[in-house]
Amino acid sequence: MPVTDLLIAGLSIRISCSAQACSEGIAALTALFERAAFNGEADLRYSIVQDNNSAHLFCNGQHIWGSEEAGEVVAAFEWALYSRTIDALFPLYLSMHAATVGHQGTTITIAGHSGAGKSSLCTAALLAGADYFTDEYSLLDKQGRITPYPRALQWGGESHPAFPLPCMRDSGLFGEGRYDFTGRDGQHIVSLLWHPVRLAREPAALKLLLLPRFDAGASGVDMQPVARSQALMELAEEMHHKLPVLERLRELHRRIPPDTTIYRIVFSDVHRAWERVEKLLPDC
Amino acid sequence: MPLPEHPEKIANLSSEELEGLDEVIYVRPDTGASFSLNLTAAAVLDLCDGKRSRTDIAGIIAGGTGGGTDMTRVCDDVDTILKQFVDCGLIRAAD
Repeated sequence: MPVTDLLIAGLSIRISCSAQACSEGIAALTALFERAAFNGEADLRYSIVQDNNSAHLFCNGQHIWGSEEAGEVVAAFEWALYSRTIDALFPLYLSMHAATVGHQGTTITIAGHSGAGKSSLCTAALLAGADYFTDEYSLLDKQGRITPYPRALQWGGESHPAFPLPCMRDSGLFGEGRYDFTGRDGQHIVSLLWHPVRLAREPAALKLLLLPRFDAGASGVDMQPVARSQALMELAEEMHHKLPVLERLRELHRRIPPDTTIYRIVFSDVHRAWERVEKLLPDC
Repeated sequence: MPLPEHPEKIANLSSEELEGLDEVIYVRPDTGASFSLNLTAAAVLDLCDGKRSRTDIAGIIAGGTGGGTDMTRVCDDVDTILKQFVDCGLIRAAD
């Protein structure tokens, strides 16, 4: 059975896949994580096995999902991989719903809810040559550093209004993968995966925290400093861990370096927004 | 909504003074919404016990700022703060 060993923030993960139809999707989802051979038992053990017409996903021996459709099992694997690694890494690492890139010596975390524009800003940064940490799971350690969690960048379809496919493909900055499956309503869903080639491999101290807000009606780019307390309250909403609010605030306040620069950025054009961010970097 | 004469902090409001920020963050138990107050506003909120009147609260705040304070102005400032508390659902009327 083909086996892949991964290391994510020191957590050992073994993935065994004997379901041929799932292997391509799983390889595409895990392509960016560090490979590491380790002896003994892994912290998390995923297996995907074929049984007659169905594929089944297990984690540490527990049955998670089974389906005749391979893509559905791959989607379940993706969810189980992220959620269980994040749970296992806490409290050593606190996971924020945020993208992080490194650019011109500055580690930039872009935090916000879905649709706020964090993945778009992250993609614009990568096209400008930034190093990729993550687009979704920013792991903040107790020293105020972000540790890479390089999952594949994911588009919910085959196009993005701000980033035409040729622009992504011709940049030379991304590899490409995909998996597809049938949704609950019978609709064919394609998940397009981008693999940034410039990866951050080491933890780096958080320097610039951006709170983006995509606003299609905005006439330009507006950047305003944000008080730390306000940022903490907003970030508390963007943590992946189910903790009481005050505990979230305490953890964030303890971990985010006191000299972190914090800005809110409101924009309609992500490319212009990124240009503004770049102008700010020398002061961070 | 008019300001309550005897404002009372809502029950089970949790708070945390975050070191070095000179601000206190409050979390409403019913919605989980959080609010950041500077230390003066936090002092006003702590005085909202349902027994003290708005004038009592303004008097205590004025006393803490030393002599020569313009009471009319302090009353206005306290009312402004209380109005924000009402909008945020941090206080209710005890009367």
